[in-house]
Amino acid sequence: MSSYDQPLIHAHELTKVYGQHVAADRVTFAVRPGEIFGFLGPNGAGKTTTIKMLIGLLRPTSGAALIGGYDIAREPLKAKALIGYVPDQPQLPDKLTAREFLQFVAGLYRLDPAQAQRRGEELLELFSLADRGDDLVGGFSHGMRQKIALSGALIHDPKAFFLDEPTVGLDPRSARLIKDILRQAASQGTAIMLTTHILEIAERMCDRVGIINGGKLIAVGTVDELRHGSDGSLEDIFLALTGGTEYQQQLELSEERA
Amino acid sequence: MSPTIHALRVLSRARWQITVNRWWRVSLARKVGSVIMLVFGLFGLAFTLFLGFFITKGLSSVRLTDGLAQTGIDQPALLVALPSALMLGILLLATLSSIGGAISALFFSNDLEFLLTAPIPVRSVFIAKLIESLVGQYLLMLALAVMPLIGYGLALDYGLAYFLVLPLIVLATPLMPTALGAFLAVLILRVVPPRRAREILGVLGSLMGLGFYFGSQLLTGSSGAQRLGGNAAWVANLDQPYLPNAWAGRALRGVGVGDWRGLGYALIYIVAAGLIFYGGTLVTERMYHSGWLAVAGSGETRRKRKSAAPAQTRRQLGGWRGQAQTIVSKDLRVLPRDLRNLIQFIWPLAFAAFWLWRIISDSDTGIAGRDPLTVLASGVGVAFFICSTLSARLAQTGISREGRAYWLLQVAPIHARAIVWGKAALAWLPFPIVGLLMMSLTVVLGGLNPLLGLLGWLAVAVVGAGMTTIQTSFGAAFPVLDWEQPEKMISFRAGCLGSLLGWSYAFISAALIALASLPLTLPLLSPSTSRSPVVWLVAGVGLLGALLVTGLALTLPVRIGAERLERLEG
Ligand SMILES: Nc1ncnc2c1ncn2[C@@H]1O[C@H](COP(=O)(O)OP(=O)(O)OP(=O)(O)O)[C@@H](O)[C@H]1O
Ligand SMILES: [Mg+2]
Repeated sequence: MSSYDQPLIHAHELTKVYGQHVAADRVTFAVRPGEIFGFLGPNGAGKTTTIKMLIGLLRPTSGAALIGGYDIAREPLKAKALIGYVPDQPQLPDKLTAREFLQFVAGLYRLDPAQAQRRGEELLELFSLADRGDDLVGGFSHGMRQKIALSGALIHDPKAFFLDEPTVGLDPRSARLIKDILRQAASQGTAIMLTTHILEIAERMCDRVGIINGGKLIAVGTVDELRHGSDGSLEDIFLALTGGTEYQQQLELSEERA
Repeated sequence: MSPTIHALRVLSRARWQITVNRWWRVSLARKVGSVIMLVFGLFGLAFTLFLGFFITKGLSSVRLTDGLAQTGIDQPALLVALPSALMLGILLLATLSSIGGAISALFFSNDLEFLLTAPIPVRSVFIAKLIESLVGQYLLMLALAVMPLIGYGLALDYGLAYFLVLPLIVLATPLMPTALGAFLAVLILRVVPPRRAREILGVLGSLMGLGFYFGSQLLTGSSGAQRLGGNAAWVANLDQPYLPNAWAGRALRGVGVGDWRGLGYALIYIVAAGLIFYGGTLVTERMYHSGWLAVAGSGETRRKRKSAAPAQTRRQLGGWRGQAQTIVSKDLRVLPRDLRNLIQFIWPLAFAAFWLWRIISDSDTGIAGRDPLTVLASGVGVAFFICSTLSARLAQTGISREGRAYWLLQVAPIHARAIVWGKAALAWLPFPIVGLLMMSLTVVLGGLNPLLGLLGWLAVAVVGAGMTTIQTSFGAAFPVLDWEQPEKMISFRAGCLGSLLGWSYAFISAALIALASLPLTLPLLSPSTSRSPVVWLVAGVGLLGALLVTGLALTLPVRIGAERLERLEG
């Protein structure tokens, strides 16, 4: 196997137990360079938990997370240097301006300041935030913070890019922009893992998808593979796999009662 | 049941459940911590009770009566006025704190959006928030009013009636300040955006505290009988029949000595408190409800763009030192932007100014003309104390200041030790900088030998480094990342362990350094002493010991802090 095919993101039997509750149960998958991996599942299925274990924010109860071949628990610094992460709720230092924030991130990732500054300006320009670049992040809207968090992650050219619901709260233009950016990053060899509830995104953007339910990874593959040749939409597959639409009966029942 | 009452019940129950969960659905260690805190709290309460008791006993002792009579102080009047004075202080304090409390509760609670969009009367949200702040006020009252007043009653052998009326008075007391505070808060927010208002109020509160402290220092400072007489007269003056605090005071005094007018005052006080609370909340609620407030923006100001030059000229920093430096420069940038951070420095700086002023001007406490050893010791002591008060909070809140944005540091390829070092380096800065200033002044004003001054400064900086590292490390080991109010940034364990170990280290190393400097300081004591080999031996041991404990202080705690930081989940 050539080194190009070595997975950049490798989840090996990742398990997280909270008290009695198993939030992630032996989750195993790999994402290769240039691949966009979509992570789907109902609310509370364990998507965020899995991502956080992969990037070292949560310690797995058992199992291992490897980034670029480095075990995040054993060689955290080497692994983290490759990681870019955009959380679902981007909490940023409120009292920094957008530009200062990017400068701060550049310092943390030891980038060359001049280069980082150029790249930062490009990113602000790209997200139409250049004229707000000297405002404090604390005064930004949810979508604007999301864009700043994205810029912070993109500024150091991550090799393994994790995005938790990246399009939530973004306007259509920005959502489209993100898709373009991700595709471009993938074409340059970045491995991307994103969670989303928008199946259309998963279907059109992701090379492969994984479906997680109740902490267990129940299906992995390209959308075509998951279809098994049938012509159902991803939505149908998703619903069939994750326990579908029994609620319809309940809905009808409650309608009768009302 | 009216919708308001219903909503109030729902809200109170939720609040209650949250409180219970916060105490019980936590780890065992935290439960134990809570119990320990409770025990400390009870000790504190007992302390205020004794304080009230002994002050009253002291003031009513016969010997003092004779002594005071000579100075022209009306001692019985002073004794009578004590409860009124106490109540005035409490009412003022409570009003000020409830302005801030109202702003926080009515504009910054994170459940607010949820509540205000729920189909419940806005009034009930408003009242629920007020009740919440009332509960806080009652806890404050327990320490500041109930306990000292019980002590007062016990000291004067008051009867049962006193102890029955006391709770009624106490129950009524926070009503007025709460209503007034909420009203003032809404008025203030008419002109100032909430975020700014909260910061400014914090600063004002701090300044007022300072005013009280230094005012009282100056009044009692040289403790001339004349001045004391003035103070007593001033306290007695607070007992005016038209002041609400005096109603409470007179009520207590009255029922204590069996004067029926006491009951009258109690009635007036309680009814007035109820009326003011009712009327005040009604008006305020209307104002809040009708959107009369300027619901201004977040109060974030646009910053002028400075030239981008520094970023370009800075060379690339290698290794974790560069990362630590990144954190330091970020903190230096962020700290002055939040007024609430600056408040933390007002106290120590005011202390510094006050001490300096005393050292320079006061003939009793000044250092000019003293023997050099005293000058050295007091100079170093004052410098260290001031620097450590400046640095302690910076150190203990080091990690906690990142708050919810801490994940940024967690996912970055940076060693936890570098984070702790960066935070410690920043918190250490006051020692060399302010220490240099203070020691220079000691040299200039106290006529200290500059070489000794330099050595003193070095000692301050070195011991400061050890102490800062210890405090930063324990702040990192037990951080609070989900704080909403900056006062809650230091966890109990971080504060306790950091201060305890930090000061223990400081005293031990100071003693060792004192030993190490014997060859220099002995001749100052008596010029004739010869430096025998024993002195050199002791000095050597002292120096080695100081180096050893400082080395330990600089490394071991950082390890502990970094290790715990790495295990932090988020
Ligand atoms: N700190 C925690 N303590 C206890 N349980 C937790 C904790 N964090 C997450 N969980 C549980 O783990 C499970 C998975 O949560 P997770 O956040 O990974 O879901 P998700 O798939 O990201 O859901 P969503 O689509 O809503 O974002 C949930 O059942 C949740 O209750
Ligand atoms: Mg999630």
